[in-house]
Amino acid sequence: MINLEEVTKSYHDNIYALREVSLSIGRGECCFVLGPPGAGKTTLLKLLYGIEPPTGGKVTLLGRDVSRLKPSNIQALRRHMGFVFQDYRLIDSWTVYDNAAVILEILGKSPGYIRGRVWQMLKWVGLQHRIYERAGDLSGGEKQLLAVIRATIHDPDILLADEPVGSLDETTAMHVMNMFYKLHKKGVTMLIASHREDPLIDFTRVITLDKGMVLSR
Amino acid sequence: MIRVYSILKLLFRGLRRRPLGSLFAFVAWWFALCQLILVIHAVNLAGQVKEVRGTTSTLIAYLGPSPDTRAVRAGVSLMEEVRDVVFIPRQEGVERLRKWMGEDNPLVEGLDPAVLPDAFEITLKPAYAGRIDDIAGRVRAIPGVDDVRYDRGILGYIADSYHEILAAAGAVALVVVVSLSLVIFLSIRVSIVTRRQEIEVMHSLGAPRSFLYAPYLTEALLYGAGGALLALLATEGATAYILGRVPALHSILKPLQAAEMASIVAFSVLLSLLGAYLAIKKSIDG
Repeated sequence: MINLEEVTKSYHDNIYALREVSLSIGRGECCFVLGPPGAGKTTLLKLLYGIEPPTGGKVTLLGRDVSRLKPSNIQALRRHMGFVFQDYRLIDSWTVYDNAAVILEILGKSPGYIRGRVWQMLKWVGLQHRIYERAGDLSGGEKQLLAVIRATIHDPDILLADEPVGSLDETTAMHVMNMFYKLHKKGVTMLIASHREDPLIDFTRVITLDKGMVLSR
Repeated sequence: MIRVYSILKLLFRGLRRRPLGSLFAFVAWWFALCQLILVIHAVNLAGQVKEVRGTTSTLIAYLGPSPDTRAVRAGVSLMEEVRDVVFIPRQEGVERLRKWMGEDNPLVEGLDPAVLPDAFEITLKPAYAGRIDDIAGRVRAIPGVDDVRYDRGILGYIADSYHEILAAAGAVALVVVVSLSLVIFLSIRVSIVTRRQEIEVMHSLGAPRSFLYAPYLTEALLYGAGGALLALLATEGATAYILGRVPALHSILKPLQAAEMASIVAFSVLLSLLGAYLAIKKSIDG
């Protein structure tokens, strides 16, 4: 499902974010990418999501070479994926409902389906009481939960998460990790980047990165 | 498939965010289109006036030196188009000139009547007023007649200035078109800038171009179609009102034809979409 062959990413010639990384992640597999800040975790996720092209090597996702895709095809590929951004990337002026619903609207789902699905997801994480509040008014933990909902509400084939619990307290972090665990049980392929080892529970595989290189698979 | 519901939701969210800006853009669009339609009316009117010949029925035939006034009068009176011929001696001519230019005007003060020619004032039968150019030519050909003058009135001047009016209308239309393009370009640009966060987030979630473009193109469509329809309503309403009050204008002032109205709406919509598309390309893709 996800395949990286000797992928390199460098900035300004000599600064390497990733060095000849080769990885293969199967369908339904859940991977935890561990490493200190600057190890190349975010770069790895950006390459997989098509935000940046690799300098060298080949990134294959759902059978397609991401670096060779046209922008419109990258957008189409992203609609099959979910991404939990480190900075949440919520639309602050929109309500919680609208933020959660936006990907379903992009996918052209019916208003009735969207209403039901958003309510179901918000209830699942306990945010239903804040449904009509502005996303900008939520606490950090609530924003993180909303970001996870938005990334998973459309049942993506692949979920990428960049430091999803990095800024959360212990309880909320556990809540988010439980959400990921449930999604994993549903068969979603996941790649979660983190610099913390403590939320590592029940996940099947750990990939360690340091200075752009894979230390362990 | 993008749902209309989603596009309208994004559109109204944008309009709600800057209601005054949207209103001003719409009013500017409407106002500029009103001007464009008035320019079209001006050109149409000048064209109609060009077709109206002989807007007055009085000629002045100035006589040459030592004329045979009898022979001239006889020659003019023989013309079937002429109703009346009145001799105006040079003294009366000076009086008329004084009356027209003002008694205390230094140009006519102490003017010697001898410098002016005698003249005949020729009044045409109303049925022949439309052939004034032709009649004037024939009067000019009568021996003893030095010059023939007639005033076609304001309509005559408009008819003579048709090409100038057309050129001026073209210039005004160009200014209006450029203004309209700028109005829509800047309005959509501002709209995009105020919603940059939304666009970036939707783009990062995989929104296709059509989804990102659609609310802004729909907004432009509303300005284009709504502004054109409202402008047509205003100008054609005003035209109908004027024609109702001044029925004499029926021969020169005509309401726009359905095809002309459809062209104006289509032009407005295309221009608004083009302006919006350029703004989107510059702001989102650029």
